Amino acid sequence: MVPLDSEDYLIRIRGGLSLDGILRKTDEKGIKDGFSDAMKDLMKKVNSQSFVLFGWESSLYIWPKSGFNTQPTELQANSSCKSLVKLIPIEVNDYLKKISKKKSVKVEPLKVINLELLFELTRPDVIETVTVHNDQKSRIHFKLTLPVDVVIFAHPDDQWIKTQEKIVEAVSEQLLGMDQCIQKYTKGKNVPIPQAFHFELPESTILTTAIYPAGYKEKDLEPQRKELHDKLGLGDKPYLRRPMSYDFPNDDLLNKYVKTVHKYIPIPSTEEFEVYVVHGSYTFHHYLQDDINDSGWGCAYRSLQTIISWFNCQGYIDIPIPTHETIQKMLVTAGDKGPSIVGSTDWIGSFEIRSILNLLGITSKIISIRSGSEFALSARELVQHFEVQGTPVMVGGEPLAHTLLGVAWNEETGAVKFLILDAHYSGEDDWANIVERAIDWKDEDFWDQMEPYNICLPQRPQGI
Amino acid sequence: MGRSYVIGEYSEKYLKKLKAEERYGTTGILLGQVTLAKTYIVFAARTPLKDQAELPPENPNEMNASDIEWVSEHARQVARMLPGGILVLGVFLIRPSKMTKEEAHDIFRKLATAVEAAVAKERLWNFTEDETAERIVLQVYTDSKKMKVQAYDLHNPQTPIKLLECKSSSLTAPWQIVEATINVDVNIPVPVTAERQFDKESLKGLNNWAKQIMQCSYLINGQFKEPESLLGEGSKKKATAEVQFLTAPVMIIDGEVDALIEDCGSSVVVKGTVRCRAYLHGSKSKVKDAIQALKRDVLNTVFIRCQMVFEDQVLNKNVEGDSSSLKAPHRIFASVLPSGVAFCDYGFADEGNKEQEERYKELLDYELNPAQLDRTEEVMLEEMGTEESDTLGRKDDQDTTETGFKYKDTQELPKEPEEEHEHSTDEVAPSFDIAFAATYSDTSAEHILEAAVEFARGVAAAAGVGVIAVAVSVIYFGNFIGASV
Repeated sequence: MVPLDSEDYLIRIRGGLSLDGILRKTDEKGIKDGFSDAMKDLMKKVNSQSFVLFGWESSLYIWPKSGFNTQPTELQANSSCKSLVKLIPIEVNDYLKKISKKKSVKVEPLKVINLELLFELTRPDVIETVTVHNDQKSRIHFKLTLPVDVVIFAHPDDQWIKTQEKIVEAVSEQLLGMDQCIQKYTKGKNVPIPQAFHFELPESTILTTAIYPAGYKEKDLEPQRKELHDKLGLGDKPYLRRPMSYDFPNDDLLNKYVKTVHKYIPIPSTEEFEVYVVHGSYTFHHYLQDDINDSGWGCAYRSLQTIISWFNCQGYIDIPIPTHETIQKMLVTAGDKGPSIVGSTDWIGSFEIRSILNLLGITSKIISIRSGSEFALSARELVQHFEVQGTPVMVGGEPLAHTLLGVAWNEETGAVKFLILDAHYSGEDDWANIVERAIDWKDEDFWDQMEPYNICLPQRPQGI
Repeated sequence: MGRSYVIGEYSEKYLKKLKAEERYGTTGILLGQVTLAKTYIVFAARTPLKDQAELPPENPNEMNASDIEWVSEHARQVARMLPGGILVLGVFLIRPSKMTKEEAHDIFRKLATAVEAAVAKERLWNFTEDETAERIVLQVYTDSKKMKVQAYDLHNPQTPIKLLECKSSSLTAPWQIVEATINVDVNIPVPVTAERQFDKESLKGLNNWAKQIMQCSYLINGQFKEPESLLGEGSKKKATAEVQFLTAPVMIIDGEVDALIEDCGSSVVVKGTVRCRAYLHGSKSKVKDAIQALKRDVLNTVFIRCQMVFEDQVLNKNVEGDSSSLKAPHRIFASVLPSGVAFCDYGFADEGNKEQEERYKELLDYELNPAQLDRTEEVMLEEMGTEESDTLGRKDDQDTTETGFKYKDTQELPKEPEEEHEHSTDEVAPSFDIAFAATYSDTSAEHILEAAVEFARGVAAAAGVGVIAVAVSVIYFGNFIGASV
């Protein structure tokens, strides 16, 4: 995963590069060859003097091949990457700085430098008389704008000149990858647009990019994901589903809800515990969110919202986060409740959660715990859940429901800790407050020792 | 606040001459620049007589449709000779003394409209909403020194005609120049249903390319400049500004899933390098106006060349077989006015100067001295042209600099000494490309030398090349200037 305290810059290079050509052949192979040739020409252009990088919202234009740029006094041949951030406004989530250092892990908000790809029309590689060429045998015109999106990491002290070279190489590499995508997925006259997605992987501190054809459903891309998983040694938990792609600082800032908050707090000591937490991402839902006053009765609904968000984030479903009323209506549809529930402030529990998830095509297991004092006995089952399923869990008790995101277990002593995301939090949706008050590792005495609990364990669908 | 009109020395003298020669009823066209508040008339040229050498009707009231068409055709051909920033402004008339008070409004409006319509055919671009649609008929009175301008709003025929005085100004001070060398590479699919597969209609396919050019971003002398800033800001002398154009960021449309694959019956591909230029009056022109004028010149010169190819093809019917490549003519500039404003014409290297001289005489009523011809585009193609030679080999020799591609006019320059080409593997050695014309006087040469040294220093600093290279070039240029006079 990208370290939360990384000093590195993330340089993101984007642009729409045009493939445009005329073919005499009209069959699939002819079309594929045509795109391949056009891609080769494009790669030549990227490696030529007319390739230009432009800093977003700056006056900096850079010619990687010839080393020129429009601000030569500030960015020189031996400058380090640090000089770039003086010239280009960075994309960064400064709110992360407000998280209390006492409670959180070390956080250094990621700095993203955004560059745009351009070609200079006034730097021709070939100088020739204007000719008007006519071909009576042309049969097909193709046109495709490639949505190039390349990411590289650079240390502030890295030499800019070397980083520049890396950028050109990375763009060329992505073009190759996009060509492979076109070759693989073109059928007849249908040529899908290749799209780049960036993912965090467990064993890597940088982002991994995969190229998928547009217009395909997640399940139809499973064969390609399987290939990638095999190549990268990724096992059978999902990492490369498109909705799982990395959130850049602006994505976080634009998101209404706060995502995957547990990563900001330290886990219990691994010398004492084996720690298992939820896989992937989710958004945090809690009391009073979205101007709905559900204080005192809505916690299970909020927990369900968090669970549904997990299935959205991992791309298993794609629905808007349901409101309390929508959830109640779904229960009526499922036959669980009568229509009077709609608009009421009735509590719901694990069994209702299971019904609704069922409607969405998601199965769940329910564990019943006779009393809070026996919670630790279910440790092994919970460990297995997070290890295999990795989904958020709803713990339903009278009268409170909680979202459980992980367990830390000492098999020898039997000691257990629980990662609790508090659905009763009623504060603002900002990182500092949420980390301070809404997420914690709790001890066994957190549970009401006398009350029974029903735990809903949503099952992750098969496949990656 | 109304628009005011300024007439330059050349045009005034020319019109007075026609008046003195008692060429009553002569019509012709006016050329110049339209700015936000003023219109500058820089040139006037009488419409050539029809073949039978008929004199124009003395009374413009008697102009018939074919006369109007004749003037429009003249305007259209002259429009092909204009650099960026210079437009056909309208028509002039040497008023016959017996012309009645009744001002022949109808004919005049028809003339102004027909002329504008004719020149619009040569364009791939349209005026923006805030640009004036005012075009004029300038009347030269025999009985007084007055020249009166009748201004017509071509978009709103209802607007009352304005009758204005024309202010005199010499307009000989040098105009600002912006230039660029740009490559074109446009694929135009011709639909299967098209009537003919290879004719002027195919050129409609240039419209998308034209839009892209109008939207692309730019640099001036290697720097980014705000559109509202002044072109001349930051530079001491009015040196020619070299412009670089960069592809506009392409919008990636949400929801678009597949590539565009469309059938066609044939294709037309326009490919090649053109040299473009625009002139701006005074020292207060804004960057955005200069860029707009230069971009429009890019569109004009490409469009005109393509049209010429098709016109030629129709004449010579030389399209046979499955495919053909037809060369478009090159652009040749000629500095005609003391302010430096040049016109241009198109021709081939092997045609010699006679054709140019004849055309300038016929269309612009101007006696061209072949020494005024500036064949820099041709020389660039000859020197740097990569049609037959190995592309890779050429790259090292290409004179690329920070500020886009510039070419040399080597008609006068002797072969370069070896010291200048100090290429290291990592850097491109700067080179000093200034267009020299033989007619430049000593003072101009000094100007250029200074600019060359300044530029060289700037480039040397940027490329990390030492002062020695600058010194060498100064000596080199110094020698040359001494030699040319």
